[in-house]
Amino acid sequence: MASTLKKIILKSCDGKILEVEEAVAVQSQMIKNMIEDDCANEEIPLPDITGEILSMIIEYCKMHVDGENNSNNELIARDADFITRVDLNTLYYLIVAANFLNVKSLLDLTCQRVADIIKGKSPEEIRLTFNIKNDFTPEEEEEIRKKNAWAFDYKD
Amino acid sequence: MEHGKNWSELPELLLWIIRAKLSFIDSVRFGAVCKNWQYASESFPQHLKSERNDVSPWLMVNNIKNPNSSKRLFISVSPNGKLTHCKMKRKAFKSTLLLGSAKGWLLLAKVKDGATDPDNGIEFDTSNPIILFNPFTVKTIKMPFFDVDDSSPPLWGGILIRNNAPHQVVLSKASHISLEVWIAHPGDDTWNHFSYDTYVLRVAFDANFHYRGLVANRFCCVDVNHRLITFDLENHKWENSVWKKFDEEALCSIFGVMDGDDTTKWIKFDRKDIESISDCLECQNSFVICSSSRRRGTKVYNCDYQSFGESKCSINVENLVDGSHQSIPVRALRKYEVGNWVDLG
Repeated sequence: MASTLKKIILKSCDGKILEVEEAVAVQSQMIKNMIEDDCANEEIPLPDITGEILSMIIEYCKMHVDGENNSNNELIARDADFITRVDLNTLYYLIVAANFLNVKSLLDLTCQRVADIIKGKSPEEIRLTFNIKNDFTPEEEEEIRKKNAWAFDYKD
Repeated sequence: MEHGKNWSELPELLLWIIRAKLSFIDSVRFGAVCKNWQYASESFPQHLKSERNDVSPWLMVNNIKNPNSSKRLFISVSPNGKLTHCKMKRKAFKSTLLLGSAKGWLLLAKVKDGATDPDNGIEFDTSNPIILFNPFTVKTIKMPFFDVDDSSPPLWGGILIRNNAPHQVVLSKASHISLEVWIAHPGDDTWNHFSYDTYVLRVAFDANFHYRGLVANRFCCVDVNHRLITFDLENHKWENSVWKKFDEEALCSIFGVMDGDDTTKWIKFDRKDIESISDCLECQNSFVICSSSRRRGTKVYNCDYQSFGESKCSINVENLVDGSHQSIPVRALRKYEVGNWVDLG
């Protein structure tokens, strides 16, 4: 049987071309808008998203389209499985791409993951985890600590 | 991936989404990581803060031998089972008893200096006994004058939150003849008093070992025989099927039930109920049910504060959805220290 499903063609910044079913592609509000405005008939270049990240996002969107009839709990379990396989480096690009493509559930999932990693950590531990440079002067840092001393006065 | 992976330079909107998912203490630490995160934290629009955020309760520790102290120790359990301690010194803590808490607000009753030992009766400071206090913003809201009679049964308090701010304060006393409720909005001049005569029901309402809580717009009270009385805080009505038998399937997810012989047991929770209740936090009698998002499951936090000061004191966390159980030893507690679970938001 010939497929009548419309395909959307996406092109990553490193030149990878991916064909995606429309039902999957419209999980992205940005692409959905483009289709509605009749701007998605040719390949859509995505200048900031690599092929690797784009494949992951498509995998995620497919999982959500295929899982529409599954129970909520099953989807949550799959989401959890998906996100715990992602390392911090990839997580960063997933967040940026989910934001650009406007895939709301993925943006929520990835940001929740970051929040979970932050929870219970001191500022220094957070910096080490995310490889963030401390750009406060010692005086500024002292002032922040003073202002909310209770948040930094801990033993663990 | 060559260009620009830099967590510190995530766009402000994304930092806001992440910050919205953090508790108060974590969001303060978040703002102390780097300048960019600090800016995002300072410009964070409060309305983004989710009402259905994951809540971890804090154990607020009070030294009963030194009630005049303005210091309190707070302990919480992070998801990985690590304990977080923080000490707060606030003038408003001096000579107060905790009545209830919600979303960072504490309901405190001022007591006369040196009169907080529950065994010897509590003497309230009659000048202005009841305040709402937010220890983070140091904001204080004076509640109307409440005439506390020290010979009366213990006072219970709860805070109803709406739009992230205290909307109503509920006080309650229960005896074997009546259940009484006082309600006031912040800014009111007087308390609205409502009373339910339990003796007309011909069955003794056992005021001992009862549990009280605010659930949605209702004040709920359950006695040791699993009977329930609810009061609608909007319409000021006692529920007409008030004396119905405590329905385990429907309501047990809100209250823990203690057996008559002083042992705590968890009753069967209906999965559906657990999933539909968010942020339900009950801080009575040393245990708390903390329900959060579906992803997290519902957790019950328990600390037997009777045994504080003994080396084996621990906080137990039971996840009712996946059945997992954690027991975390607490060494920071000393003799004469008692803890109450509070919702710091």
